[in-house]
Amino acid sequence: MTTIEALKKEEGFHAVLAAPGRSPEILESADAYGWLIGSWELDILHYGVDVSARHLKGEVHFAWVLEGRAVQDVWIMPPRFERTGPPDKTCNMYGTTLRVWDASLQAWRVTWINGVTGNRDELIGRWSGKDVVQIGTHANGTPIRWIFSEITPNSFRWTGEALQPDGTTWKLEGEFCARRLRS
Amino acid sequence: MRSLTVVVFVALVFASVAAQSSFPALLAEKPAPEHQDKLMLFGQFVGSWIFDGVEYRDDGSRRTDKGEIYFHWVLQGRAIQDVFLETERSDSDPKIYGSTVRFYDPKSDSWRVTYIDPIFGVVRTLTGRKIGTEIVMQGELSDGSPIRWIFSDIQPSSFHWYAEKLTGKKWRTYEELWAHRV
Repeated sequence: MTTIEALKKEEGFHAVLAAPGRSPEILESADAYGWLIGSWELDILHYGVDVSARHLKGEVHFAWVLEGRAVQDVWIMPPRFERTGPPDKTCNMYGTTLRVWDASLQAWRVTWINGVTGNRDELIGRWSGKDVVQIGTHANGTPIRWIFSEITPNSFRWTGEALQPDGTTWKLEGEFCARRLRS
Repeated sequence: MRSLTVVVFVALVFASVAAQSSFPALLAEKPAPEHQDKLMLFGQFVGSWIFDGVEYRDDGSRRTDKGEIYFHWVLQGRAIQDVFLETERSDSDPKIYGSTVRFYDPKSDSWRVTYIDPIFGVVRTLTGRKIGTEIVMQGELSDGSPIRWIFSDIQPSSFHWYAEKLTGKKWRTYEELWAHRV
């Protein structure tokens, strides 16, 4: 058995999933998500309704996967150390996003899965000026847009909005402020 | 000199794994307590597998491949993710390095399945359930033609998987593989 095979056997799933960095096939200018790699803590300001008074927290972790051609994350709310007892499904995430670079679109195909509620949303993401904008639909077809804004090396704001039945009004569904955790 | 190279290489590999150490929030060791029996439909595959596969092209030609599949519990044991990678192909096409996430949806008593293949920019969404002794997932190709992916002949240490697409009124197998647990 070669060293690589031994390591693969040792680390199994995680070793074959995780990648050390972006694939050279993806240009730096197209890399909308590499800046997120690492761990962040979240202040939950809005989740369906304004929850800023409840001071809810969350955590999110990003990693390069699949030979550096995809970015996967895990969003957790409440954070792991507060997750005791049966889940309150109204304000609860333990989900993952898969983001795949699609050269034919020159954009990222984004799939969000929340294991707690069984939600699955699909979007297309790319840089838009200083923001990263994802446009797509909920599983029921409702148009949605998710935006990373106010991006600095150690912080960002995330907002999620859904188009209302009037076809013109975007309603805030989620708003998080993130701070990078030191690794 | 050679052993030094190996030591440095191993150190680099471990460093890259360690750098990802915050990510195991993804991984879980066992199924979630609720719906545990249902979760075992795909939970039974957790572990490492090798496979031999065949692709049947529309022009009647065929390609063969070999590869590995790693299944793991993720998201507190409510979902199962795999990494699917080819190690050999009979042609010079790029080797697939993809992943599937599947979770059980109690509302519909079915599985929502998302497969991604970044090399070809492919995302497929399917819905799966147990039918008899097989697991059948239904979805469509990007051109809208219906497909179904089927796990059959499921044994503790082996399974057969095949993919069919609807051509006219007939289901035609376009890919299949035989997997064995490592």
